[in-house]
Amino acid sequence: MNIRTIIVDDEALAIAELKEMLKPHSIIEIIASPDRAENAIEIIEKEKPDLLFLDVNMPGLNGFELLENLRYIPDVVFVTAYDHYAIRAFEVSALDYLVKPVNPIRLSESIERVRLRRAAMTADTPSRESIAMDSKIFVKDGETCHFIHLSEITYIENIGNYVRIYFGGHKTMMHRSLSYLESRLPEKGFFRANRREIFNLKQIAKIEPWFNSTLRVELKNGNSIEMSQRRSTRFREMMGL
Amino acid sequence: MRENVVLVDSNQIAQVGMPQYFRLTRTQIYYLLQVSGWSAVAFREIINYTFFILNRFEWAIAWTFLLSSVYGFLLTHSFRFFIKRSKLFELGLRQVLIAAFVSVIVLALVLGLCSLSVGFILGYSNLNDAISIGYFLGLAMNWIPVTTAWVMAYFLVHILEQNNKIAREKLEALSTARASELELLKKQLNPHFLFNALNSIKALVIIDSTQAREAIVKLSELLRFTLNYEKHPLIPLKAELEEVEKYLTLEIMRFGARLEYNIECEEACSEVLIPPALILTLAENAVKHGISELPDGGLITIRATIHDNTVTIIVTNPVGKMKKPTGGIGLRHVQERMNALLKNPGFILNSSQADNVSASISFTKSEQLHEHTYYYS
Repeated sequence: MNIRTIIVDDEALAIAELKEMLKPHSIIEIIASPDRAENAIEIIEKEKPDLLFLDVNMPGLNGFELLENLRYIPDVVFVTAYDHYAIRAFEVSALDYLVKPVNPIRLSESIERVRLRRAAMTADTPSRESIAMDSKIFVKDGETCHFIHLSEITYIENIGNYVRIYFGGHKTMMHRSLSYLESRLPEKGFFRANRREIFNLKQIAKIEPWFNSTLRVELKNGNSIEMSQRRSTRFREMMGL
Repeated sequence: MRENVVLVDSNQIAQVGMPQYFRLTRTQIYYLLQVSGWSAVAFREIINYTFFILNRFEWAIAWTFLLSSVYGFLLTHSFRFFIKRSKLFELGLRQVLIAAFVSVIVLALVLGLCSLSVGFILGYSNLNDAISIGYFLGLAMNWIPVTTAWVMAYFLVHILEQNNKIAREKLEALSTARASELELLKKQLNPHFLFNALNSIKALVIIDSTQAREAIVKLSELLRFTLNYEKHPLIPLKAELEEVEKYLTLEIMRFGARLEYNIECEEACSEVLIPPALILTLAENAVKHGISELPDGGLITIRATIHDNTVTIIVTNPVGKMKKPTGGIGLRHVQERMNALLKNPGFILNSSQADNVSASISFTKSEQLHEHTYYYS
């Protein structure tokens, strides 16, 4: 099975160079190579590729900003010429990155890693619903980058102009509104509990009745969330309680 | 001892070369030496009198010397406060030596006076014995070896410590200077440009090998210029602009149609001398903060004019809406070098226009045309 790939770089020669280097890798099928980040968003949303080679330094939107604006995030290999801040960010979160000019051996390793990851994923043959939950969001919190799988998220809370995402024992901040995130999350997987919080339905440990006919949810990480009256009613309807 | 002094930090946390549990603070070491030193003095005198002078033990003698030692301890202890307050050891060696000499004498005289009083306090002497100045001076003289030893030890430790502090400060200053020099060197090499250019050339090798070969030559020349430019304080403007052009053509290879440039240099100022890489730095900034931030790129113009012996060079580049120019290390270096090497230097960064930023440098044309000969290769 081919890996459908998109290359995003603002320099035509850099794209040409990467295409040339990818030629021997028959598994890689290049479906587009936009040279503008703005166009890239549209193309990626439409084509839903498996893999993205992404330049970090681009005018308009840089690589990180591009990812933050994507609803659908494929596997990503960052490509950068020299940006020690960016490289530090990659090292922290163990994302894959290549430096220009690209070493062919490093490129082969990256592709192999992507291939193995994809093979492991398809072996699970997930159901339709969990495919949505298997997608990920990209968060850059200061110098640290995270690709967070939706299924890992326990809950998300609103803090002024930011949201704080709790996932797999960590937490990170994102400069977005809770409503924006809610619109991006799959409806079947997440539930808006009140004005401040959204939680993952798969992360519920216990549900109990609370005051004024509201509900209180205890999550697997130990946190508990009180739902508003209106949302409690909605939750009961949804769950057939 | 010297090694201990090296380790003794001026802030109490002394680490004398001993195991962890036996480490003493500076203050503890001081008290230990004081008590043991003064006890030794008393003990020595008592032994001296008991075995060699009187040939018998007398409590009167013992008390006299023990009390004298207590006096010695108290006196030198307060003397230490006085020395600390005076910040004596930050002065020159000459002052310190004079102070040491005076200290020895004064301490001995005061201790002599104390010894006199010891007799009265303990009731062993009467007034008639003590009244003579000769007796008092004799007592004081006896104290001189002891005060000399004390002052020498105390002063030596502090002089060595002070030396050490100075050496350490020098070393720190040096390493800071080295670090910023290295940072500047990195800046000069412009690594982001370098790696991107290499990547472009790598692509060109297949697409257009002739152009690739030209690019390698240009890149090499530019690199050589960057590495060597500190050797020539001043170069003709013409030569500088040639390097700028090489740089911009290499960037065009990378940015394609997104980058255009226009260099205008009045004939009259093509031989004017300027510090090398001055305009190159401004051109690099124009690309870094202008072209590379704009999806549609734009035009960089460099214009050099001369009017009444005043040379003006203006580098203009488009900028995105978000970016406001910031005076980074590159621009600071430009200004430093202008101030050091040019007459009436002026530097203005103008961002008042809507979407353009211009960096403008001006200076008075130098008369000594042949002082710094530049052999352009």
